[in-house]
Amino acid sequence: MSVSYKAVDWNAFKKRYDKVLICGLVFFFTAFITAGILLHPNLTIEILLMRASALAAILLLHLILAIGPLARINRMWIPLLYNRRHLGVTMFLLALTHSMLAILTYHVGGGVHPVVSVFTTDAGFRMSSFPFQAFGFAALVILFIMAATSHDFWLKNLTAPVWKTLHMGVYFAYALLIVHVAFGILQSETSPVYSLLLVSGVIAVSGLHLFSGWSQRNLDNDVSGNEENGEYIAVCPVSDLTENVPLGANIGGERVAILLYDRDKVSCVSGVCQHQNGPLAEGQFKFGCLTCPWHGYQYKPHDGTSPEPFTEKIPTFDIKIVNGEVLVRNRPNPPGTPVEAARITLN
Amino acid sequence: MQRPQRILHRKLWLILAPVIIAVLVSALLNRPEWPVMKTLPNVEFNSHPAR
Ligand code: HEM
Ligand code: FES
Repeated sequence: MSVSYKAVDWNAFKKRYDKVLICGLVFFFTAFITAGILLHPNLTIEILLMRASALAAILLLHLILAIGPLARINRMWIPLLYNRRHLGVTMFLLALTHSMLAILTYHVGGGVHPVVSVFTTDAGFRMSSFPFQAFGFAALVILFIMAATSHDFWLKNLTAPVWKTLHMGVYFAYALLIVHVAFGILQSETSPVYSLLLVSGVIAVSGLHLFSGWSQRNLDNDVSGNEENGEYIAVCPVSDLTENVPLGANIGGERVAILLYDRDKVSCVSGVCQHQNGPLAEGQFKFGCLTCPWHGYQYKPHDGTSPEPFTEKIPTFDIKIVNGEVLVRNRPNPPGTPVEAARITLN
Repeated sequence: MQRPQRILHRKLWLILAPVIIAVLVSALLNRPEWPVMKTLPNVEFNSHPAR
């Protein structure tokens, strides 16, 4: 029962997400081009489209880059993570539209190969002899690689860790694009609005990434302290747990998810999804299962198995509560091993 | 995010963030003057009653 419901729930969410994205883009393009025609009647429609797609792409890129750290800082943002790849591919298509229009407008028909022209001419831009378009081109190449490998097929073939590392390339693309914009349009733009927007965007994105990295640094220092009761490790006071909200921790280098559910039960399972290493501790507790935030794989908290008919299993951890502290054994049980939940005393 | 990626990610941004900000600041400092900044003092200068 919960199985079919899960599938429907999931797709409906993704569809709604895509709809919001498309409506937002249609609204943005309409508004941008209408305003452009009214305010700058001398600009051609190609130039307006080129600018609109560039602006939409760079705005989306900021959103995409902000989602990860936001979700790590505050769970409220986690739903935005679900379909981030669609955002990424959309952003690439917008960037591609912009690039093609720029090449057609400024680099075709000059006797030089258009791609060579991107690197050698500044196409009559008075502002600088800086080859800002070459940076746009390099970024486009990186974004193309990300978009082309975004499908699950590649995620599986490259394995999740390699894929994730490869997709960190988006940060380099971002840096290249800041050069592209800062040494391109910002050099000739007469209104400071663009500059202010870009400065705020850069501060927001860098700040969020630095802050989330800083606030998670403890996860990566081994939680070696308090070796009470043999190999049990004190993780946190019971008061840190919120019912039905998993808590991430690091037990001897292993990511785990600790969950308070059914009013007083506390269980601990691996924090790594069997599907593609998704972060289970950032997931939700739905239909009696810990649900991965990435693609919705589910695991029962007491034994780490997926509900029928699925067969995935994750390791479980022995857990107990002593003097209001949650203690977890620092060695995982084999995947799918049932573990008796610890009980908190309700008052 | 898993541990090795988290560590890589953290190191990456420790380098990338200052680089990006430095690029942006230097681009803005070296750009041609804002037209507003050029015209404002002139207007004030010309319309000053004492001159
Ligand atoms: C072959 C690759 C590219 C070329 C030849 C190129 C060319 C250009 C040119 C000529 C401009 C100045 C437009 C103007 O003054 O109206 C520009 C602006 C811009 N480009 Fe690119 N670009 C490329 C790739 C990219 C990519 C991949 C992005 C990703 C988002 C991007 C984002 C922007 C932005 C945000 C602007 C300023 C927006 C505006 O004009 O209002 N560009 N680009
Ligand atoms: S990683 Fe795909 S569902 Fe968890």
